[in-house]
Amino acid sequence: MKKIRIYLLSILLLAGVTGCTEWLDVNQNPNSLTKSTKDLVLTGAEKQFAERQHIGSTNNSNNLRGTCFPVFGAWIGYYAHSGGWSGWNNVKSYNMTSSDYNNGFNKPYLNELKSLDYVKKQGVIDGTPAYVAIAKIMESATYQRLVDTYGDVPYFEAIKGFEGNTQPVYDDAKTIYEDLVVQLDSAVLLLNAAEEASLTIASKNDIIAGGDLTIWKQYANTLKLRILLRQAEMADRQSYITSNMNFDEAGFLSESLTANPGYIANQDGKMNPLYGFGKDYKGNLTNENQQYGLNIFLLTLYKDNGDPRLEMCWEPGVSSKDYSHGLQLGVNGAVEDHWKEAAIRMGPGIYGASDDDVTVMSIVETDFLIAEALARGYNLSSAGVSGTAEEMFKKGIEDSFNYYAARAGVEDTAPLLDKYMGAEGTLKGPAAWDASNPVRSIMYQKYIAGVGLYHYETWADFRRTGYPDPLDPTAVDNSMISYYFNIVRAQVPVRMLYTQKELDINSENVKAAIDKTGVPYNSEFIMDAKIFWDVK
Amino acid sequence: MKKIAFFLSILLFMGTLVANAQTRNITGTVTSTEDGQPIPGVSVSVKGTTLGTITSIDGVFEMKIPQDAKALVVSFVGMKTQNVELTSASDYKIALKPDLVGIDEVVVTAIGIERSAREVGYAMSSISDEQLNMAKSPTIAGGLMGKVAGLQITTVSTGVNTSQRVILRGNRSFTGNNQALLVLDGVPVSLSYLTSLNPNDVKEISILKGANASALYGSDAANGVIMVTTKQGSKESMQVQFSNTTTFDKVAYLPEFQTRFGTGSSSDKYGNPIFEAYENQQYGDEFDGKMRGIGRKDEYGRMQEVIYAAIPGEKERAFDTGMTIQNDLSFSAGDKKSTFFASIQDAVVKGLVPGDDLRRDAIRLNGSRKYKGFKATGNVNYTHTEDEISTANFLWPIYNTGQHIPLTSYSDWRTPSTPEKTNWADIDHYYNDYYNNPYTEKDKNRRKRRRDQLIGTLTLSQDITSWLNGMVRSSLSLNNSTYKTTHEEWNFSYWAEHESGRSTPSGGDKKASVSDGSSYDFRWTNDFILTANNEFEDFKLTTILGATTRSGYVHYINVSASALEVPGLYNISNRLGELGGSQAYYEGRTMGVFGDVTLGYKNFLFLHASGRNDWDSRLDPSQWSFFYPGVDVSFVFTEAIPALADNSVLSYGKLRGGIAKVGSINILPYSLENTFVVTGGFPYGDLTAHSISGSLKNRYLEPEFTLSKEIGMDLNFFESRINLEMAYYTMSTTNQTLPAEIPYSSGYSSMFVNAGEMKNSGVEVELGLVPVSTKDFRWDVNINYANWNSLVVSLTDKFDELNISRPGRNNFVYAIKGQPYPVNKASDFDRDPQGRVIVDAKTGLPTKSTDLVITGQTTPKHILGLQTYLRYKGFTAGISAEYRGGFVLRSGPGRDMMFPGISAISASAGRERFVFPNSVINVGTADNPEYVENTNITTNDGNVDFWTQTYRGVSRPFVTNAAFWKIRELSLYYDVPERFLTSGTGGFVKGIKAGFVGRNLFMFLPDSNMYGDPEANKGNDNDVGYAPPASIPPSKSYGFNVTITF
Repeated sequence: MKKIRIYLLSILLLAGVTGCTEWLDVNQNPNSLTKSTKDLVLTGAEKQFAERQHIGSTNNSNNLRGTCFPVFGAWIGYYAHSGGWSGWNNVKSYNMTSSDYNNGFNKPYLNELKSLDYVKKQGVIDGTPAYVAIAKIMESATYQRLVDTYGDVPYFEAIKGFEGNTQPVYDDAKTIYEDLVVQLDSAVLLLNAAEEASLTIASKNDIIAGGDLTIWKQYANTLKLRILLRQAEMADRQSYITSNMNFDEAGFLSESLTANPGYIANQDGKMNPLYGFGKDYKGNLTNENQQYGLNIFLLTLYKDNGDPRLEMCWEPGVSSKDYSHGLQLGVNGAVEDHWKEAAIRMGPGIYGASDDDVTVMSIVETDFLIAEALARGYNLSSAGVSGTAEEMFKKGIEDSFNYYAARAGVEDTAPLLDKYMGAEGTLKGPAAWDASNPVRSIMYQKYIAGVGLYHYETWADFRRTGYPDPLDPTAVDNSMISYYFNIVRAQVPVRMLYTQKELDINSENVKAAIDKTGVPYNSEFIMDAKIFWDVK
Repeated sequence: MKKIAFFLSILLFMGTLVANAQTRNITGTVTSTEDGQPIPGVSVSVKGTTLGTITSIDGVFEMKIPQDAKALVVSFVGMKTQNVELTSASDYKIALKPDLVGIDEVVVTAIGIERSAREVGYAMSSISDEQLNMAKSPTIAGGLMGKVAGLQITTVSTGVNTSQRVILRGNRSFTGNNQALLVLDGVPVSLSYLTSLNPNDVKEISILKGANASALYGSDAANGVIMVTTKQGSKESMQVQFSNTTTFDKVAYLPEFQTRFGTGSSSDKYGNPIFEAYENQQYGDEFDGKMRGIGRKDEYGRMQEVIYAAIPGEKERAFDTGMTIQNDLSFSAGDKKSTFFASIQDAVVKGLVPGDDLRRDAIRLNGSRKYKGFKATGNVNYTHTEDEISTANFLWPIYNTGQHIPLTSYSDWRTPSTPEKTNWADIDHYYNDYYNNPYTEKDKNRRKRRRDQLIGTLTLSQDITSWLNGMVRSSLSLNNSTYKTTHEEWNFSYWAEHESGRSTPSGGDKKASVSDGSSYDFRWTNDFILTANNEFEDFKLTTILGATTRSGYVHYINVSASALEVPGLYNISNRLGELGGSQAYYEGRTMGVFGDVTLGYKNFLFLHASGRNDWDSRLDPSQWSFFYPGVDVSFVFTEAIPALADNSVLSYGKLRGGIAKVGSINILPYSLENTFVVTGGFPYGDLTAHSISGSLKNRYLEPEFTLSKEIGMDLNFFESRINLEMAYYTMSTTNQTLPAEIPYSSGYSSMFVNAGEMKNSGVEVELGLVPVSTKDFRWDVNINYANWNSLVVSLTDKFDELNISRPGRNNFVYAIKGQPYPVNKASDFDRDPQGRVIVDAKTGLPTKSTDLVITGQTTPKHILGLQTYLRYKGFTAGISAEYRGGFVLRSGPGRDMMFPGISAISASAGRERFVFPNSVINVGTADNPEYVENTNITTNDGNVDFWTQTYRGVSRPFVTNAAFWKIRELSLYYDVPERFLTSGTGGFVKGIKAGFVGRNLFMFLPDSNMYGDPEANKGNDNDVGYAPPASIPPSKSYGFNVTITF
């Protein structure tokens, strides 16, 4: 009897041990996908890419707190901070630390660049060149933004995960720029090959161009033009630029390139993120809208020419009920005409409607890019451009009027345009066409048309061309320069600092990049280390 | 008192009386040498036989003994066993000596095996129910604080739902779980039961400090084990006990406030503060005691006027006096073959934040039954908890309320204003433009939760032979909770939104919203254990072989609607727009086989060895299996060395030592494969999108291994008047699972690797003293001390620093090579080589340094616990105190109070320009600095900009020495003497005990800590060291307890 008991118990014990393989095999993830498709990943990448191209972030909490869009807007004289809140001292004093505003660096790598890399690889595996091509185009735009903001950045070794170096080296900014042009050219070839083989992309998943490969070629061309023109002030790059001024016959963008995943009006977390800069999902003005008022610099430019875009883009101050109080960056918020009720507030021309598209690349920017290229004497005939610089300059202004007017609900812009720059027009000063210095005129108009639309480009243009001239820094009313009481150097920063995380855990590589700038690490002047194309 | 307690817990068997012709009758009385009182329940048996009896309630026994019987063995728990030579006399007076600390006490070791303390080769402490419940802490965790050397219990949340972090011997894993394992009646359960179990059900708590129990409990025991044994019914007795504890809580230990300046947020051009009537910030001008308007004019032109002076104590008065009422009823009974224990508890807690409350009801049934060699034991515990709290931070808007504002007058904000009378508390008229009325916030944002917890265990055991026992145990633990979070709508009047001129702080009108969630947590443990006991001559061998399976299943689901159409109905069907929500499942399974052998020689030398192999489903099948062994030795030298036996000084001495290795897995299920996530914002209608998650997964992760070594010594002097236990240990944890941060430019934010090593060592001392022990008076002192030394030996070959702050918490807590673990890093002002702050020669302002500085470790380096009990006749007084030191805390309130300008330090320079204390200026160049003391360059601002920007911009000033002394518990009880009860109730009432209890009544902090209670911590994770701007401040509590026994 006892023996039988022991025997039975031993059997039980053994059965428990040996029957375990199946029982233990429960580690299949029921919460997250472990597989996806290139179409779904493309859609996600396009949304993140498009939102970041427009406002520098992809933000579902519908506010731009912590993003660079308002920061650059403040630095180039669009906005200033109104009284009633404290903060933004790093913005006002031009004194960023490496912990400030890191997302402009971190998020593109973590999000769309990694997704685009996946789409590219899947595209190669599946033999669908269009996917490879549009991934390359979006990568090029993203890396141009990274170079414009930081100079040398990880490029050739980036986004490799376990397959490569998890501590990627920083590549030379100019080398990256040159490779971007190569990538864009190859993207166009791939798109042409895709068209020939009738291999397109799923229109539903391509929320930017709806599967229209011609639009992608136009965007590639326009992007290439932007990359080349960025170097236009560099005497030693002229032969490089000229030899690369060849474009696919698809030409440049003929209308704004926009994206809309299906933003839902007035639905928290589902709206156009720029809208959240002005209003919340209930239609109430956000704090941001009250914190960022119109800068006196842009106000003066509007007023000098009776620019109707002032009223399209901005709403009068609450207390003054007019457009009298332009703010100055860095001025103590306690000053009466800087108080939030005095500030001129953003209007719908800037923040739009909650289900509006975001703009990947505006026709306005395209017009001015073409105008600038023509004004500089570059040959754009391969892209089918026939007009003159002045015509494109005027088209840019017209497209700008139309952009803001559509958002502000102004129906007919013709009389406004006529009044602004027709035969009887009021347009004068640097914003008017000046045949002796057309680039300056173009840059002024491109600047005025950039508010709410392409702050990154305006900041880059300001750095590379010096326009708009920040006038006399001592003339309080006319300068975009900060008046912060404790300012160390009164000069718009020409770069953002490398992020603290890279300094912490990719330090050898990032410090090599800093050494190359010639400005010592830890120096407060590190923000004055220029990007390679910034020769002014 | 003591006698009754003993009588209630009689554990001894009553032998069988055998009728024998050759017998005679004897009688006797057993008393205590301590007080001369008779002792009931003492076992009296005839040496060498099974004959025996126990004494009656008067200490009297009567028995038939064989004529040839030589001696009696008289034994009683807590007393020294005595041999009494039999003479021809028939009546015996026997006096037992107390065995004060219990040299040969029986301790409950792993898997519920009872052992003599002398056999145990590893560090172990026991806490009796009396010590635990000295001040009637409503939670077990609270009652354990400061009472065990090496045990660190940290409060991580205050309010009606407290929770604690429980660490034994410090941290082992950089990022994994470091908390001790809780074992309830032999079965591992969630540590959260330390706050939800009824402390009155506890019979004893044993604490295994090291990893030596891991063979029997598996990996989770690597961090030590807290074993809670609940009460079983007493044999041969029946008892009913009722107890009530009522305590009151008062807000305590708030940081220091400034009381000089009113509301304002700016200075004029001369630097003078400007008063602003509707400001949250308190950088206005100095109080002048005159009437001033606050807020804005209402639609009828009226304005609220107050005296412009600080109202003392107003902030504290905003909180209620909390109250806890616990009623307990228990019943226990037993006979030779069965035991039965039942209890029911009802606890009602009213929180400090008005409207917060909790009610907990718990039922326990424990029973056992024997039949020949078969025994069945069943334990069931069911707890139902309902609570309602405010989800709004109540304290933060209070900090944003000026000191002259009559805060407590705003509690009734629902009464609408009329043209005749303005209610200044309502949402339209509240004075503050930027922060809502704290009472409105608290009332509009609520969470109700219901939680059901069930633990059931069935144990069946069978004696297979006289030396072999087989046991099967199955235990389940079920934890189910549902909650509903509601946010009431905000409807401002047209006047408030458009004409008042005020900003509407919550962004204007807002629809109501609701979030419903539930969580389901199921654990099932099965053990099969064979135990063999063999004795040959001087050797005693205990062998345990076992197999165990454990499975856990967790499911969370949450649905929410961000806008509800009809006010008042908090149901997602009432929503506008899309439904929000999320869900997650986790399932993990583990199995293990183990062996455990103890070889004893002559009752003074014991060798114990164990080994276990685990298979864990969370790993890749190729890594499932891992093995870990352990060995320890115990040597009772006072018994082994004849010269030491029976000496009058050293009564008992034991040396022990052990070494053990444990493997543990510190990852969640499904952590091996990269995942795709739905891209933020999606889906939009029928379009969805995916992104690749930010952490790079590693398929072939391996377990972490901890190797621990310890030696210890137990000494007992003068018959337990001095009892000393010491231990020294070292631990090294290698092959850790690290979510190594990698640069974003790699495409990921982190990747999992096996790397790194952490070393720990420490000393633990427990000293028990009985300075006085007479018939009426006894004084006990227990002192325990532990220190911890930790060292981060290495992380990965790529980096030497790991930020272990949980994502989103930004605690700045790090593991840094060459440093203790964990340490805080903080931003600081630029300093000269002597550590003086460098200020700008023009502005007088310090500048923020580029790099973060290490400010110190965030867990205590030393803990000293002290308990003392004084007993005089029926009175018992107890004090429990604790000191912790050698660590820092980053104070969230300290920093956050700078912004509203309510902290005392923000007014320390009178809000005027001042010379930054202990500062220098650089009179050299940037490359060749030369620092001279700054005596006259004042800051260019001394008001809002300086304090909210320059000063608040760095975190070093808010990192404070976290040392403290706390009087944790105070109690004073009176035990009504039995003779009064006998005469008063005829013996129906067997005992009445009543007393006062107090908890956290006193706290002593170093002068440098201006930020209040350093125990107000945050988070259950390894990144301790940050006190959040808590919504509920700490409290002190006091009250009374009455226990009646029938």
